[in-house]
Amino acid sequence: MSFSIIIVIISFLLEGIVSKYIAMNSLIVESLFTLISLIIIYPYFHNREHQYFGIALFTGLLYDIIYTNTLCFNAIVFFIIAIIIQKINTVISNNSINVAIISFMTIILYRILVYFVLCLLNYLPFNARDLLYSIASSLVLNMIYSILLYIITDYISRKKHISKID
Amino acid sequence: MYRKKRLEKRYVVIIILIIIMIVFSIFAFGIRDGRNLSIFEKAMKDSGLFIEKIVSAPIDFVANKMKESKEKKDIYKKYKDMKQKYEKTKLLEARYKEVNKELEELEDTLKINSSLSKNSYLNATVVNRDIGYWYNTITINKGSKNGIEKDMAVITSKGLIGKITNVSNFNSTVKLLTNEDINNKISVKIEIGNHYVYGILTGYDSSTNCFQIEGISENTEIPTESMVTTTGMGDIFPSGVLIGRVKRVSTDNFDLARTVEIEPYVNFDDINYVTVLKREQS
Repeated sequence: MSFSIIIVIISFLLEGIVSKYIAMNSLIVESLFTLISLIIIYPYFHNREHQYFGIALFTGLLYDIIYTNTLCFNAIVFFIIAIIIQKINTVISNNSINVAIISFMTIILYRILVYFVLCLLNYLPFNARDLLYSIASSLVLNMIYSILLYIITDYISRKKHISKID
Repeated sequence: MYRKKRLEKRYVVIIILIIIMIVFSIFAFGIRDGRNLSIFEKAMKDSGLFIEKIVSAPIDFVANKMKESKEKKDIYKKYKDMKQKYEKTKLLEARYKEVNKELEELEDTLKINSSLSKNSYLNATVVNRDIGYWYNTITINKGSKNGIEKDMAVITSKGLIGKITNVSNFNSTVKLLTNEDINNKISVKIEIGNHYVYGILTGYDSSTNCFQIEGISENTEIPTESMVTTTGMGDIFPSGVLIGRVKRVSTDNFDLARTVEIEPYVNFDDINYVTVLKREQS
């Protein structure tokens, strides 16, 4: 569990640091490293899903307080995403290509979910083009990050004999 | 048996609807803009950003060194430009003092208390930029301990960028003007020769990178490149803060209402240092 927490903390901090160096409203690089880390750590919670959901909820809450100035918004969204990740992982095996596929689906789902909630609550006017831009800008960097993070964590887990679902 | 199953199904639907309503109520409460942060939130935010600052210190150091070496290449040219500008400064300084004195006298006469001269300046560095994509906010490294309060105007050397929405002890969040929040309206004036035309800045179009001004007060011709500044009405933004220049003027299908597109001077994609206009205590 500590290994997974370290992955989440590193990704969380990296997301904040990277935001300073990439242009706002960039068309190709929008980081969602914290969300990606939730995909990567799932296999390390075999038969301990409740702990995984707890981490997703707590990470979302930290994301709310430290980064987005919202309250319980990302906590609930991350929790929902964590449930979906768990469901997807029951039908897909764990390898780098599948991690990229799960990341692809999760990013799209996260963007759509957040955008629709913000539109429904009158925070944003609905504009399909903006939604498509937000998805397109998030895919490249985050899928690369997911594959790299998977390779690194897989190597470390094999070396340190940390058990995970394959 | 069948009736019992139908009843159970109905209960499940009701429970799901109640859960959805509760979740949406939490969302509505959680994303509110003017929300005051609790002590727990302030402490968490400050400590989280402090850890991030420590972790990013080596990266910042390398990035700054690279920027420095890049800037050193044309340092002589910059020095010559600066020298020329410095020579003009003394002349401008004397004029500024005189104009400021006149302004103070006029403000006393008219009892206006919203011009730029009534603010003190506080420089800050950007710690985070628009995490979460939709919020169009930045986090700066100054908070309530530095005298920052909610709704203070934030500018860069090129003009207005937004206002403070959340304040913790050592950090604050700035909501940018590019935020597509439908409730974000600012009173502005367009300088045409010696007089002003007033309007309301109603929104931002990310595809054209322009602000929109509606509710134009007069039917006069608005030339492109005219300067747009704040009016000082509304108690948040002081008068005379630069926003941008007129790019295009269009009318609606019935030729009744006019919309003015404003190109901002500030590059909102790359904001690193900002200035908070602190309201002077009267």
